Amino acid sequence: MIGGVCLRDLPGEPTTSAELADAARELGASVVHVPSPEWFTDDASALREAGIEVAVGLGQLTAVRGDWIARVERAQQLGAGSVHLSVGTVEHRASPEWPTILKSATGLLRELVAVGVPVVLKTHEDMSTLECLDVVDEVPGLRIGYSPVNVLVRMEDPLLAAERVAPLVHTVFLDDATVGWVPDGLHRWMRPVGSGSVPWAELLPLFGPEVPVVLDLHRAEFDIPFRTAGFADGETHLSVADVLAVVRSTHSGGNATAPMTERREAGWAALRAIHQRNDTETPLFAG
Amino acid sequence: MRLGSDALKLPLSGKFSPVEQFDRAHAEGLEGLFFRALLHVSQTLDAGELAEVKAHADHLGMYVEAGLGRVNPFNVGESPELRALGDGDTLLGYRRIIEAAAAIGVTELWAETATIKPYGGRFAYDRFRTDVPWEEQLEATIRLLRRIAPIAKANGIHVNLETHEEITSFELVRIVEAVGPDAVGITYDTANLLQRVEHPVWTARRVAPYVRQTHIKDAAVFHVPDGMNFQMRPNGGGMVDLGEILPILFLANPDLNLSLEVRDYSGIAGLPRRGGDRAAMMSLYEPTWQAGHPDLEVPELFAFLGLAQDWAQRVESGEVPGYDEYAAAPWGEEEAWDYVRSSRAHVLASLPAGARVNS
Repeated sequence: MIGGVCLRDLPGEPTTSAELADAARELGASVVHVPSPEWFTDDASALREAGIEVAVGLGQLTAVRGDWIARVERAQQLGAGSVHLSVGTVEHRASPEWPTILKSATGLLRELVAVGVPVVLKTHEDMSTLECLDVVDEVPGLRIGYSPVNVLVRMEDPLLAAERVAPLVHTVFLDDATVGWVPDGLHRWMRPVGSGSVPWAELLPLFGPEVPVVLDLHRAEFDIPFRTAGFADGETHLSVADVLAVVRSTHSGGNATAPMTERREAGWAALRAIHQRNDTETPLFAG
Repeated sequence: MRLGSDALKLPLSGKFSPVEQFDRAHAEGLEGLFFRALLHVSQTLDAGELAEVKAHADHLGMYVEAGLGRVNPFNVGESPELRALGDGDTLLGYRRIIEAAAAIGVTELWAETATIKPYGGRFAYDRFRTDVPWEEQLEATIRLLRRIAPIAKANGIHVNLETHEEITSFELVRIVEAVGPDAVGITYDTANLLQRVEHPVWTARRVAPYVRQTHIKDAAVFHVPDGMNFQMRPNGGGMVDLGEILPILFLANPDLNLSLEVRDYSGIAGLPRRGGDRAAMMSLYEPTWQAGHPDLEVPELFAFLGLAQDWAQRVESGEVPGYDEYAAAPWGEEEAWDYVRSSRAHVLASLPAGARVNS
């Protein structure tokens, strides 16, 4: 199993490729995710020399302006092993323009895939895995970055969702969450890895050993306002099985976001465990 | 709309003759009785006995409804009296009940597709029998009802299948439409289908065109780790909004009789509630349970979960007792009659304008 980490979740605040390589090495991470190609002020050679793969974030297709193809080419020049992006936000999804946004994004994704660097569409909180698969159908070669804490926001069961996308997954994003009741429906609270409702012990075996597991500590809580009028109309992907699995998970974990220090410590411990594992039979997380 | 009661469920009713049961009900302000089986009115379907009871009810200005019994061939054997009535010919047994009811002017006969069983989890419900799939049971029920239908029609009778805990309203509507609403209708129990994860108001809208008898009942569901549990409460004390449901029923059938179905009291104080110590009655997290509800769709599931969450908040705030607290509360004859009286009062307060004209 390959461990990775997002820049913002590393100890310290690396500002150069060398510092980034040192911080990643300390955790045993073999992959680092930087937020954008613009982050680099050097040529990333320190990372290549350390044998650490670089994944470059491109942001949200709806948020970032500029020449996307040029950004992907820049990432390619830096030696990026993949580029990662999402389409938009939950607000975009709720807007009447969402179908247009999605169509436009699909067209752009075809152009980005053609550059030649693996392009990875993250299961962001705005899209379900079924919707991601629809996009992949339209964009051959597009891969999926699977974030189980995000699929909860679309009321998908993390395990069922993982089974849906497993063959196309390029990267798995490591984090944890619980879902609890609020007046309008449910709410996602972030928890330390291993102490939320994401069934990591059952999830990880679905992916091959070449799929990096990248620590990505989400900052945002989200409402899942399924009780609001019209919510189901916009969620045609939902299944009874998914919804009930999410409801069942409300019985586990605490209903509050844990302090970031706790979450980082748990995440770093998981990364070190991934690095130190030389026995693939031993589960990384207790089932 | 007149408001009466399921006869069997009134406290200690088994100790009284049918005539006495009418007197007791009348004294409580109830306007009719619904005997689950016509055999409860006369064990031999004696024409004289039946006529005497009907005459007494008429004298009191009360309605009489009755029942045919089980109509699912895969569990009819649990009611051997049906076959015995026909001297071995079950269809003749049904005919004799139908003709006896018609002879005293009882035109609505309750029926059911199964009875709840004393097992845990989904095995309490015949829809999850493992010896015969539920779809086959439903098909057999339709075939039997198609054989009963001509008898019912010839006698001016409707056989009204209950929204019982084992069947969904979707399935019931399909049965009525397959056999014909000129012979088959629905006995609408307002709370049972919480056990099938149906929102009571959504159920009411689906079944209203075919409702000819009722069990007016309230209940609540409670989250447990392996699903949900169901618990009856007095009308107005649970999750069922009769203020929304009764107008739907009135619009479809202004002459519909409303029959309370109250919590059992047979004279044994403090008897633990059935199901209190078993696996979740609604094992809705099990793939088998989910596969067994193909008509359940996400919008109704959302509405149901919202209803359950509102209830959970009321429990958490202390506004209503939780499952264990309610189950442990004293349950004697006094409490049983309080249940009847408060349930009756709530129904009367929930009726739409115009529903009580001519009652």
